Amino acid sequence: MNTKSTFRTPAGRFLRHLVLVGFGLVMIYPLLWMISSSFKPEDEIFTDKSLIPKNVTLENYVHGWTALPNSFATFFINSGIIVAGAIVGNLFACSLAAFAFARLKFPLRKLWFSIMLGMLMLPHHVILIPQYILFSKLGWVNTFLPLIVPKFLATDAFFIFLMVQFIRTLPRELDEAARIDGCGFFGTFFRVILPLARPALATTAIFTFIWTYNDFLTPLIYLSSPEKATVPLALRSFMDAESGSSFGPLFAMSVVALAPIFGFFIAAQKYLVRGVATTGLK
Amino acid sequence: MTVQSALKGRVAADHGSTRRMRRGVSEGLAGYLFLIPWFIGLAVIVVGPMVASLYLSFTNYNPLGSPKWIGLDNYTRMFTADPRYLKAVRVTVTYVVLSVPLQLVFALLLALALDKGMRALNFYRSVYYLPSLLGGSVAIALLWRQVFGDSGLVNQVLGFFGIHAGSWIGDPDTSLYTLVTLSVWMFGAPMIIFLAGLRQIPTMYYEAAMVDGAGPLRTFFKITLPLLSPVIFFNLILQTISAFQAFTPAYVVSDGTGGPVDSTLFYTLYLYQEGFPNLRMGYASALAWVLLAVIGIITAINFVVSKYWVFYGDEG
Amino acid sequence: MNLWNSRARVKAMVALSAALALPLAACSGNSADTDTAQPLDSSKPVTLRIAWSGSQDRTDRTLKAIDLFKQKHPNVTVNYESTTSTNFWDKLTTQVAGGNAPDIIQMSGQTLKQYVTSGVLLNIEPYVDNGSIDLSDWEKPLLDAQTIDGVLYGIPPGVDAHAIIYNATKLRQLGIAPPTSNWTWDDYTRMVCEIHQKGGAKYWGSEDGAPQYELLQVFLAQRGKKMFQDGGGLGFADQDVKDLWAIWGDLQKQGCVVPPAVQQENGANPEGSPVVKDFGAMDWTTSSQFENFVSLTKDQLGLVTYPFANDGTPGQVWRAGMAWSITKNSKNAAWAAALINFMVNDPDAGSALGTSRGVPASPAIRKLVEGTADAAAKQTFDNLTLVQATESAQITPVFPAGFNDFNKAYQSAYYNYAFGRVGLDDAVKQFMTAATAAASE
Repeated sequence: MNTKSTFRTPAGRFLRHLVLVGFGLVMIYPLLWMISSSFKPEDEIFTDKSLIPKNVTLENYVHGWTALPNSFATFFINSGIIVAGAIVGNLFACSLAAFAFARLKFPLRKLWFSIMLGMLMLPHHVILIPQYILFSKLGWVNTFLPLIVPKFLATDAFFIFLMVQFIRTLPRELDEAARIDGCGFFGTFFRVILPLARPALATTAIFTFIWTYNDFLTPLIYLSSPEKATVPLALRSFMDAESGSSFGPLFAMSVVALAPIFGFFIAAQKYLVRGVATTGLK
Repeated sequence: MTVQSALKGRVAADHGSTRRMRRGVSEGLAGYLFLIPWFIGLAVIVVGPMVASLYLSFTNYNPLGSPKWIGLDNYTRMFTADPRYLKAVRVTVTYVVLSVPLQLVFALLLALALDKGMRALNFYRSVYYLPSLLGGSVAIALLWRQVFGDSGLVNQVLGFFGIHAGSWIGDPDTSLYTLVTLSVWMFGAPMIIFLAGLRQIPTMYYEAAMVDGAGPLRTFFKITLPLLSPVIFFNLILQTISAFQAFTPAYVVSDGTGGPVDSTLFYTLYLYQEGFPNLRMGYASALAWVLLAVIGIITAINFVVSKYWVFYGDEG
Repeated sequence: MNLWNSRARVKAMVALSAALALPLAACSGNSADTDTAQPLDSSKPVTLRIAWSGSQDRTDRTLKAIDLFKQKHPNVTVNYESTTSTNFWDKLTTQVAGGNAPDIIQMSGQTLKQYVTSGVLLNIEPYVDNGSIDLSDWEKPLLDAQTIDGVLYGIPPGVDAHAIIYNATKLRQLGIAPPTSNWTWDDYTRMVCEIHQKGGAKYWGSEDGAPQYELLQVFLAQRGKKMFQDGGGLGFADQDVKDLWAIWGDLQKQGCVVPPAVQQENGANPEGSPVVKDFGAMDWTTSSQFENFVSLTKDQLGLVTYPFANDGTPGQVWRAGMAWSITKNSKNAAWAAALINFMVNDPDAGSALGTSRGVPASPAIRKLVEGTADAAAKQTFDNLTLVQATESAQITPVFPAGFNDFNKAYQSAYYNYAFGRVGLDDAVKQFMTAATAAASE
C-alpha cells in the first residue's frame, strides 16, 4: 500500500502512538475497572475504589465457572451453536436478498424495499408476544429454533440494507462484463459480487456474532431450561436485586465472556482487507 | 488495464461452469427467486406479529387477559392526556439530535485514522472496539457510575482542577448527556462499517489523484467522501433508527425507571414500561406504530435528500 | 364519520386477527375446575413446571427441596425456570399471554391482584380444605394477605418486616450510639444530622427514605390510617403526605440525608446502598435484605425497626412479600398443591430452604430454622419477632391492581419535589391525582 501518511517521520509516528494510546486508555478505563474488580474479594469490590486490587484472588474465576447448576462450558456451547447458526443464516439469506435489491430490476422492487426497511422501524417489544405465540404454536419454545431459523429467512433487515449499500458501491460494469462472458444472475452473484463484497460479509459476520452473542431478551423469553441458557442469561443470574448478587463471579465471568467475541473480532478483522477489485487491478 | 477488462479475464476463466445458467431466467423472475427466503420470513415470521400489534393498538390489551376494541382511544390519549408521553418524546428527540451526528463524526474520524499507515493499527482498532463488545451487559451500569458518578473518574479529574461537580448520572439536568456520551463511546459498529467502506474504494482512484498531484484534503473531499457516501448514508439511516429506538442504555443505567425524574425516559423505554410492567400492551402497541410512522417519514425524507449527496458506483 | 370506529372496520380487524390464529385470550383456563380439588394419583407420571425469581443461592436451596420431594414421589418430574427478579415478570407475562404459563408461580404481593383479576390464578382453597395443604397452625392475617374477595390464591413461603439497616462499625468510629428498637422520628432526624456533621461533607446520615411507599405505609399506620381502604380508594389525605414529605424536605435542606442526585445515581439495589458503598450510615429496607447486605461489605451491620411516632405509637408493618400460586391452566393442580405444601411445611425442605425467602411463614418451620440460623440470619428472626410483638403491628394487605401506577406516581412526585422542580403543595397534588385514579383500578 502506498498511500501518503502525514505521520511519516519517527517523531510524528511516536506522537501518533501517544495520542492513540492515551485515547485508548480513556476508552477502556471502565473495562480495566471491571477486570480489576474480577480479581478482588467480593466485599472489596464496592469499598476499594483503586484500579489495582489490594488483595488479588482467583476465587471469583474458580467459583464463578461452576457456581451455577451447569458449568459455564455448557453456556458457551449453547451460545456457540446459536451464534454459528445465526452467522450462516444471515450470510446466506441476507446476501441473496441484498443482491436482488441492489442489482436486479423486478416488478414492485421499490415497494418490497420499503417494506424491508419498515421491518427495522417497529420497536420489537410490541411484537414479542405475538411472535412468542407463533413459535409456541410451532412447538419451538425452549429450543434454539426461534433464535436461529429467522436468520435463514432474512429477518435481519439491517444486514440486507448494509449489503445493498456495499454492493451498490461496486461499478455496474463488473456485472455487465460478467454477463457478456456468459454468467447468469446466479453466476454473477456467486462469482463476482460475493467475492467483491467480502468486507461487507465480514462486517455482517462480526455484527451477527456480537449481537447474537450479547442478545438477552430473545433467549430470556424462549429458553427456559437452565441447561439451555446462553452466556448472557447465565451472567444475569449472578445478579438479583431482590435476594442478593454475586458481583465477584459476575465480573470474572463477564471478563471470560468477552474473550470469544474479542477473539472472533480480531480474527474477522483480517477479512476487512481490500477485496480483489480494489487492490489487485492496475 | 481497466477494471472491466481485468474482470472479464477473471470471469472468462470461470465461465465454463456458469454458462448453463445463462439466460435461464428473466431478470424480473430472478429478483423474486433471490428473495424467496426473505419472502418466507416476511410472510411467516414478520407480517403476522406486525399486523397483530397494529390490531392491538386499537384495543385495551392486557397481556394477562384478552383485548377489547377501543377504537382510537390509545392514539388520542397519547397526545391529549399523557404528560409522560410528551416528556419521552422530548427526551428521545434530544438524544437523536445529539447522539447521531456525534457518533457518526467520531466513528468516521477514527475509521480514517485507523484505516492505514501504521502496523499497530489492528491492535488499536481492537482496543477501541472493546467497549462496543459489551453491548447491554449488566456491567455497563456499574462501569458508568465509576466514570460519571458523584465520586467517579470525571469528578476526580475535575476536582484536580478545583472544580466540584455533583453526580452527572443522578442530576436530571445532565443525566441524558451521560447517555449521549455512552452512545458515542460505543461507536464501534459504525466505525467498522466505515472501515469496511473505505476498504471497498478502488485504489485506482487514489492513484489517479496522486498522478494529478492532489493533496490529502482534496483527495478526501473529492474521492473518499463521495465514494464513501453510500456507506455514510447507511450509517446515517441506521443510527437514526436505532437512536429513536434506543432502549438498553437507559434501561441499564437507570435500572428501567428512566429516571432521575424521567430525564432519561426514552420512547422505547416508556413503551416497554407501559407494555410490560404496567400491562397496557394495547397502548404500547399504539406508541410503537406512531414511532414507526415518524421514523418512516424521516427515513423517506433522508432517501429523497440522498439523491443530492449520495453517489453510487452503479450509476456511473 | 369516523372510519376507524365503524363497525365494519372492527369486524374486519377482528376477523383478520382470528385468521392469523393468534389466540390472544389464550389464558382463559378450562383445564382445571376452580372449585373442586383433583385427586392425587401416584400411579401416573406427572410433570410440573415451576418458576421463581431470585439469586443463585435461593435457586440452589429450592432445588434441594424439590429433590427431596421427588425422592418421596418418584412419579413426579419437576422442571424449573429461575429468572432474576428484574426480568421475571416480562417473561411470565409473555408466557401467560402465549397460554404457556408454568404450573406453579412465585407471585409477589404487588402483582397478585393483577393476576387474579385477569383470571390467571387458581383458587387454592379446595386443596386446603381437603388437607393437601396444611395451614392449621398458620397465622390468619398472613393468609388474609393472600385472599381476594374471600378466595385464597397464594401460600406465602416466608415473611419479613420493614426495617432499617445501619453501619455499626461507622457509628462506633464516629462515637454515636446505635439506634434502639423503640426510637422515634425525632431520634432519627437528630441522629442522621449528627452523623453527617461528624462524618464529613460526603458522608450522610441516611438514605432518603421518602420515595419508598413502605415509609408512607408506616407513617400512616402511626396515624391509625391505611394506604388503601378495604373496599377500594385511598385511605389518607393530602395533608398526611405533606407532613411526611416536609420532614424529608427539612432533612434535605440541612444536608443530613443523601441528596437526590446521589441517590438516583446509585439506584435502589443493595450494591448501590450508601451503607455498602460507604457514603451513608442507614438504609431503609426490609429485614430479609440483611444477609444480602452483610455479604457485600466488611463493616459490621445492624438491623433496627422503623422509628416510632414521637408519641410512642409503633405503627410497625411486616409482610409476606411473595407467595406460591397455581395457575388455572395447570393440568396437575393436585400435584402442584402437594409440592407447595411440601416446600412450606416439610421440615427437611424447610432446613434446605432456610431463610432464602425470608423468615419461614409456617410457625413450626420458623422455629426449626431459627434454631440453626447463623448470626446474621438470627438478627432477621429477632427483628421480625420484635416487630410482630409491637402494639397493633399490621401485615401489608393485598394491594389494588393499580399499585404499580400508584408507586411510580409516588416516587416521581417526591423526586420532582426533592430536585426542586415543583413546590411541596404541587408535588403532593400531582401525586394525589394519580394515586386516586390508581387506587380505584
